[in-house]
Amino acid sequence: MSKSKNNMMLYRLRKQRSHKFEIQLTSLIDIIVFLLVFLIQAATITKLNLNLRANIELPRSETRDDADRGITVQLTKDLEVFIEDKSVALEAGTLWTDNNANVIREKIKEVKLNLEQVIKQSKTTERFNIVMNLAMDKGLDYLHVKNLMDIAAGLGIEQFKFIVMEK
Amino acid sequence: MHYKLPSRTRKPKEIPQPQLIPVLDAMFIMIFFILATATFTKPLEIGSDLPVMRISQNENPDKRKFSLRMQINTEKVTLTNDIDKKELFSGIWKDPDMLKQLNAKCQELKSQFVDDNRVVVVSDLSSKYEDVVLALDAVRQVKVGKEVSKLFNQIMFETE
Repeated sequence: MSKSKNNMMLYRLRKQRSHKFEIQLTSLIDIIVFLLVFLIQAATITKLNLNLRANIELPRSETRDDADRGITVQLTKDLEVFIEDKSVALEAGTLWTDNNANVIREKIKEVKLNLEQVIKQSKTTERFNIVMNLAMDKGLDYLHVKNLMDIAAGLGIEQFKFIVMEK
Repeated sequence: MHYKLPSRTRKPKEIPQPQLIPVLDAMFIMIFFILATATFTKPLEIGSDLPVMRISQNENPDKRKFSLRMQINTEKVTLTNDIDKKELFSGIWKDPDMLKQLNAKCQELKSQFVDDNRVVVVSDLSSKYEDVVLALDAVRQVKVGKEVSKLFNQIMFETE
């Protein structure tokens, strides 16, 4: 065999043995499958996008009705009030003083008016009931529910819903 | 054609390869910890299907034969017929089977008054919110296996 042909064969062998740049995707795909399993299992298809505060433990219920959109009022165990995820600045001490009740009422009224404007601008033919969603810590007294319902009724909010967790 | 062999004294150029496997292992451990500590909350609702109600003293008496009323306080739950004021059920919170008994009574009442879905709820201000939700659960529906049947699911809260 000529020297040139011999060199050619050696070159081809070395080329076969030369390392190609490869990315190991198998482990990455395993992790993605693992993540997908968890995410599908935990996926929620509710219309309500609830950003629940850390210090609220919702009561558990047998209900299977998915929560719907509305004006969300959250009341934590420390009696902090959040309306549509925004903290409401209130007087320290007792929660349901006249001033605090007025502040909460005005905030809810403001949110309700904004929501009504949005509905009007969307020109939707679908009748959209404004509801109040209450996410409250389970250890609190019914007094807070009653006061919030009074405010809702006074503002003409048609329905009132308790947000709970699955049992 | 003349081919020249690569020189043996010069080392072949090493193609740098990023080592992804340790990175993926680290990611895997981090994801495991995040998933173990994460809470996935699915919000559900218990609604008052009818608007919040204000009862005045001059309200016309109901002409129906049956109107379910549930009174909740820190000690007990009571069901009465708002028409004849007859007490239908009374159970104390300390009884671990109280909610099951309440649910059974509601099923019995529902079988007698099939067309009636309303319940008026009155609660003491000092009652726990969780207790109110548990009582509402017992009155609203009954779960038989995987099937859920509605009982008195039109909730009206008495405010004044």
